[in-house]
Amino acid sequence: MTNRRTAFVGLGNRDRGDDAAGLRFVDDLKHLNPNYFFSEEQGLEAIILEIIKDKDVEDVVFVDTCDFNAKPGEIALLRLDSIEETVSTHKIPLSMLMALIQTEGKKAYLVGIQPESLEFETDISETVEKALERIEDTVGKMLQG
Amino acid sequence: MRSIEIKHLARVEGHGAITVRIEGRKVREARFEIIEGPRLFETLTIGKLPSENLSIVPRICAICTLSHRYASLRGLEKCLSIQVPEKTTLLRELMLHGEIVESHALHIFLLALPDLLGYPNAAAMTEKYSDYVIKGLTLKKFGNKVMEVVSARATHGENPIIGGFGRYPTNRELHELKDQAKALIPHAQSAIELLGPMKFPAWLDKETTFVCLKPPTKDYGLVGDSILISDGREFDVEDYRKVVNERVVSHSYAKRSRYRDAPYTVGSIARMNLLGNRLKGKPKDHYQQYKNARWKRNPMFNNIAQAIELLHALEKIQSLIDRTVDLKDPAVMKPGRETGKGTGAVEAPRGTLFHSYEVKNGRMSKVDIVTPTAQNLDDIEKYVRIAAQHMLDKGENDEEIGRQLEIVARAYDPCISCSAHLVNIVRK
Repeated sequence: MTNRRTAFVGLGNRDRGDDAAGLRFVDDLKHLNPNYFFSEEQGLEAIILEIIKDKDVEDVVFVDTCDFNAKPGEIALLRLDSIEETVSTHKIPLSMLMALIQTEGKKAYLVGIQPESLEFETDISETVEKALERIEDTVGKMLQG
Repeated sequence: MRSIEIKHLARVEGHGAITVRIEGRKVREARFEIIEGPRLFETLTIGKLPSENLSIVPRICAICTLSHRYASLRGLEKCLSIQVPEKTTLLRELMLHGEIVESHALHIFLLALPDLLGYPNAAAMTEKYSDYVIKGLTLKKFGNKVMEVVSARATHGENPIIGGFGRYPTNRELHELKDQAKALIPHAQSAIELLGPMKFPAWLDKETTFVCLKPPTKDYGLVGDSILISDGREFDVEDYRKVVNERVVSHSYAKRSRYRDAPYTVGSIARMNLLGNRLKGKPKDHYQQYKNARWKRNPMFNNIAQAIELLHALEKIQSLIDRTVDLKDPAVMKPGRETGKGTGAVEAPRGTLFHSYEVKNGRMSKVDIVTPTAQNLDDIEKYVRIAAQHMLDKGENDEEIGRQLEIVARAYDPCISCSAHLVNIVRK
């Protein structure tokens, strides 16, 4: 992945504890490349349609908490063939969106963080905060060259 | 006895599961389990102001948010003796049709199509049918835009208020929507042309009863104060309990409904079967081209019914805008009383939605919400059972049986978040 040609899409729900992590990722880093950081809150169909039309985008990275049977806070970089169809962006299968992106000649990845808690009206847990810091540090360095 | 379990039903809204218990070569039980917990909305809003109820109840769901809001408005305005002017009614219908576009596009193109084209999952379908995925996303985006323009947000918009709207859309915004609706007609047509000729095996066929609202005009519509049943009976919407007859079941947080002690279906296929001959223009042509007697017996035809409704909605959006743009923005109507009761009903994308209220001295005192998916659950179980027995008789393995059961359940486009209704616990 190179910096200018990667679009990042944060997924999640701000009201559900660690499920806000993907959205926080976008909040924290979008200043580095505002046109290429998207939050699910902007409307996923509009985001995907914009990304697939953008000839400059080569890679698309989704960031979200997801269950991959790991310890809370563990991070995984997942490709399409690792993702079950039950993983949905609350409606549209994420696997379908990733497949679409690949069909349009781009690469798609999911950076998954194993959550500790998805309780309503709670903050992101300390465990996932630390994981988020690691991800943001890596991506930040990548974007800043 | 052995069981086939689908622990997480994919490509539906919310969290549901299917369990089939088999003894020898017989299906003993088929269950569609709602594993989302009780939502408790009907208790949450007791004691609240009607305006607060109006903001709370759309949170039942993020897909059918405006259906809930519109049904709530209709119920509350009956309680408070409010008659809204024509422009308000037209705009509320516009937002509801926007939701139909958004919801049906999601279901047809992105959730059901892999099943209908014979793919094991959505990703496998996308490689060959990426153009349909893009059409689905484009239509969904447009549906969201309609809702955003009228209600101020694509999800949980607060602009529709008791007595009117906080802000009326400008004519420029409405004309833009009209142009976009017209441009998307070919997308809807392509869904009809793809789904219309599809054949479904007859082994799933079984008669059922259909229910929908009867529009007050002779048009195909989504709003009414009369409930139409396929057995020929009609009920006033205030008598909805004579139709829904809710009960609690042990294996699901969602209540169940039966009409005359039998399951029934609401949704697009119900509307098509009961009101299809009211369609006009191209939607009517397609309805006449594809309709057959099996639409009354096989839930898989709900998909083509949704596709025709999608086209109808795009055309209706244009005609509603034409009628709206010449009207002046009315004032918000004030309540005529503080105590009253009333039932509001609309046809949400998935079927008939009831919001029944009592207001006493300006506060909510009784709330009853019956959602389309909750009404469909008994019929879904009936057809899941038929499918399971057939696949068992054919000697299919558990994986294939499970796959077919998911296809049947998905055909109903269930909205599970809506269906997890309040359960009353009675201690004896």
